[in-house]
Amino acid sequence: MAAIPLIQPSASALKFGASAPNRAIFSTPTVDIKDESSEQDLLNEGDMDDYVTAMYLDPSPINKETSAKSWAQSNRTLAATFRPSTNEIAVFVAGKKAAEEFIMQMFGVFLNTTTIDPRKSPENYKRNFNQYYEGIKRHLLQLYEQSKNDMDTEEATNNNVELELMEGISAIWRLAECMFFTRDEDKPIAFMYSEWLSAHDSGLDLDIGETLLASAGRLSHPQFWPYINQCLLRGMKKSVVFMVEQTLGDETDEDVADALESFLKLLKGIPASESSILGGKAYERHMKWREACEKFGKSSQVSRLGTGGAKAVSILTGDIDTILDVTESWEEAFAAILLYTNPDCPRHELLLILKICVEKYLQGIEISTLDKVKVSILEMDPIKTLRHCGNYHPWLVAHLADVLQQHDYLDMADLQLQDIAVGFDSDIRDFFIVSYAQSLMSNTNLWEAIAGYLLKCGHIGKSTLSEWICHVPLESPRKAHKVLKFCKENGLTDSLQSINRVMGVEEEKRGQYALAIQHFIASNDDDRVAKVVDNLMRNYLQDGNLDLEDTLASISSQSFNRHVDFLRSYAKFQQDYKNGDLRSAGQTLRKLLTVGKAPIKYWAVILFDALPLLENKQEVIFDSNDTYELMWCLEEIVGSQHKAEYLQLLPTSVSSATSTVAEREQQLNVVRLSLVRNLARSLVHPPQDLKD
Amino acid sequence: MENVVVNMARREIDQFTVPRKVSKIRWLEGSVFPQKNLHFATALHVDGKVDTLTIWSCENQRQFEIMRAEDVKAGFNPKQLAEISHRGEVLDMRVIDDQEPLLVTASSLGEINLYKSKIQADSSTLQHVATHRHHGFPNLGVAGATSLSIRPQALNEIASVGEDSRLVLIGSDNIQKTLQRSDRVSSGLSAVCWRSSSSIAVATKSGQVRLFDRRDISKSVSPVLQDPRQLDPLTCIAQHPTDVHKLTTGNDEGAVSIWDVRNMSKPEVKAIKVHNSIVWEVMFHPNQPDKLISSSQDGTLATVNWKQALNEYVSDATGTKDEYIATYWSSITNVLSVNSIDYHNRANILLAGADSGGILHSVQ
Repeated sequence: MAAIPLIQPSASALKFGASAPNRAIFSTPTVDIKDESSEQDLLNEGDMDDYVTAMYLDPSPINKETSAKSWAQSNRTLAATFRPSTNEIAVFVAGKKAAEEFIMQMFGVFLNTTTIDPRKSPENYKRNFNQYYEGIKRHLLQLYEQSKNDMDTEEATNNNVELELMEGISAIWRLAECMFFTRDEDKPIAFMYSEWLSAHDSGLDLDIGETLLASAGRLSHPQFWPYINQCLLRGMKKSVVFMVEQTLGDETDEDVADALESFLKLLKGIPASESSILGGKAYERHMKWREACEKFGKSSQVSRLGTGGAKAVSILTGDIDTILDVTESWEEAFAAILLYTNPDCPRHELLLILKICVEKYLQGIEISTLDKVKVSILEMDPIKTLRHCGNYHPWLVAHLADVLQQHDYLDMADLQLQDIAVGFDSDIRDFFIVSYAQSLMSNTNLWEAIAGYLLKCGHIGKSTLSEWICHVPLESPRKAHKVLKFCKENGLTDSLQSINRVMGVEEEKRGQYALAIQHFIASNDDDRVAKVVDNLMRNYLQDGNLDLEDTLASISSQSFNRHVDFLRSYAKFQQDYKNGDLRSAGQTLRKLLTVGKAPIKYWAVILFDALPLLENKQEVIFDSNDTYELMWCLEEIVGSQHKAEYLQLLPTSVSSATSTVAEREQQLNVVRLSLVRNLARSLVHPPQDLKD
Repeated sequence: MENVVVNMARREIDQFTVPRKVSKIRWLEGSVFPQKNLHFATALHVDGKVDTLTIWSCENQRQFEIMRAEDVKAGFNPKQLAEISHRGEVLDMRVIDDQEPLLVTASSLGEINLYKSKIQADSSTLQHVATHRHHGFPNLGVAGATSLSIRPQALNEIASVGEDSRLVLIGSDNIQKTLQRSDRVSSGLSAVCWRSSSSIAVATKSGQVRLFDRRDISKSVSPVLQDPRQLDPLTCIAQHPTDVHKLTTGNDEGAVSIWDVRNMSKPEVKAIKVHNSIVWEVMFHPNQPDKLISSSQDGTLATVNWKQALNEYVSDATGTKDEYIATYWSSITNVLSVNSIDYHNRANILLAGADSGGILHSVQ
């Protein structure tokens, strides 16, 4: 297998402990990295600075049949990135930044077509499918316009390369449409192919026709018969009839005029799509017409038209030798032989004619990828078509694979198919679409399209997407919002958590605590939620300025989190107390301590908060059971080996930052005394209806 | 989430394509109508490149009659008149219509920018007038200015909100001048609109609508408007064209709501689930205010009759009648987010800008 050398720091990755499976690239499942040196060599390598080594991709994305030039022309390049956290190297086929408008529009068409079953909603499918060719034509027009504008600039060469490539794509796509996605009953391939040839091969110089019409001695003009013959080869019945009619009108020699008239009569009977129906009368009519052509060819009249005229009649009779003699390309020969020997030939029976043309024109020469693709399409060999399209352009092969699969042309059990994507644990359509998406990855402006393509490629696409989307730069709040939403809507849970975590950290730095908590909850990062809640509590305990209620109102109550729940309960306690609803405040406080809502490090603070309730002279807020519970909490703090930690967070009114543990513990005696007093009062005057 | 689910009627909308993402689109209606040409401005975006503001002109096919859809379709072939680069990503754009319309933009750098456009038959220009950073975190860097709104009638003040969770009032004649700045609101602010010349409404990322009195915006007028059934982040807000009490909001989950600020506890109509994803912009139809127009991340525009929804809501307290008619507009070649909408209320043309580079247009 031919391989291209790559310079990678992978040897150092190996030294730093990347296991063999980890060294396999993760973003392009098509290729594996093969190092020239053995692993043992690398392990024995003494010089740490000598970390640059030649690497190869196996199988290589550029094979024997693809020249580096055509690789570059198809807008592809290789990019690699090293991931320090896991010592992995990603090598991917990347696309140059070009034709973004086309890429985005075609992505839209892809999404619309790939979700429709062509058998269930043929009309809807066709409407969307036709947009592919429409889009290609639109882009071609833009390129023509651009080329015209940039004709004298340095861009001209680049434009020409892109234009040539796009013309090739356009021709291939249309031919594939004619062969794979149109039924014989719709229109015989002979006519569709002739139309295709006229639209996609500029072999015929229309200016000659103009010159001929303007000239006086038209019939003796050296270009007359070559022009007529070329029109005949391409099935351009109207053009050739018009030209001969004009010539006949101007002809003064009666014999020649008679011959031309007979010739014109034959020309008017050239098979046309509107008069052709497979089998039956159309076939008989065609055979009769051919017989008439042959008869005319043998008649003396033909000699009055000269050798050019004789050749024209031979073409009409379907004489293969003459056709091969006068044609300039295999495509032209194929069109003429098909049209004049068997115009109703079904699509799957073209091989014989194709063989004749290929042998004449392509034998013994280096065949271009474009020709290979065209021949494969005419052979109606979807696998070969994809194989060659893969060497032509990633966009083309990806979208063609998608529609071929939709039309059941790709049998996944076919070994030839499996051979294309060796080591790729998915079907061939996914393989090409993933590869195409990867070719776009260097351009993050196309992130929606890249993500959309990957999403439609089963588990391989989704896992690639899940990894890649975390690296999409979030330059603005709008983009961050879009990326997060995309992950959420498409079940990319890991990516969603990862991005939320990053955004949470950012919001925390900015002091946007409510937003930070929301992001951390979404990222399932309980520890970070706890940290932000701690920050909020510390700020509140220090200066009491933070509007806890306002902050909490901003956090969706639908996403439950125990730390936020604690904060909500604590804020409720404060609010009830401020509003004078002491009973409710007491209940909330008891729940905070006894149901386990409040972390133990806040118990001391909460017990201090309980003081005004314990000392309330108007009514007893806590009954004896509650009081016992509070006493138990107090003893848990002071009796714990972590006492120093638990006493850290005392209100600033009772301790300072420099207070010792003993001093802090002593402050709690005030609470202890109040609890004892409340116990006595609650036993003497039990509170009514306190329990919920 | 409790939402009203809408019945779909899907229609095709025509599209003109530009080679960049259209992040914002606004008509420059001007004071003279009918005009020979209609003008609009776009903010175009390419990730990692400088944004551009562009002024476009399209032919007004039928200057003295109401335009028909086919006229717009046939004649909508905008020509670029002027272009200027823009620092940072344009997160919002508004127009102060005048003889020489002013474009005001809010950027991802927290800046408010002012541009003057001069539209003439032979040459048009777009000129940068001033830039000033109004949103940010002390010592922590940039906070994007997420939305802005021009004070109605007087047009002399700009209200903007940012990622720093502050509302800022700025003089439009001198954007360097901060007139007032609110305290930080704990929930992030996503959108702002003037309710009247004395009151401002902002939408928050925690599903609230907060009102501010222009005389003192340091704190919002409490209580806030919040739908207890619908706490998804709000993404956009707009004022009713004639009823000062009514507001509409769009949210992160594709729903739109109508609020009456006199009833703070819940919206007028249950949130109507119009779209399948984020609603980027919502507005009352200027000429038929019982209709809402919205654009969404799901790649569609929608018009929904909220009045019909309101009637059903009132008559059916159980909330079981959950189907209302909405019309969806999408283009066959656009599946990407429709970021922005604007309606020319004299030419009756709806314009929208999409991430596919599509400028979608239709007579409504």
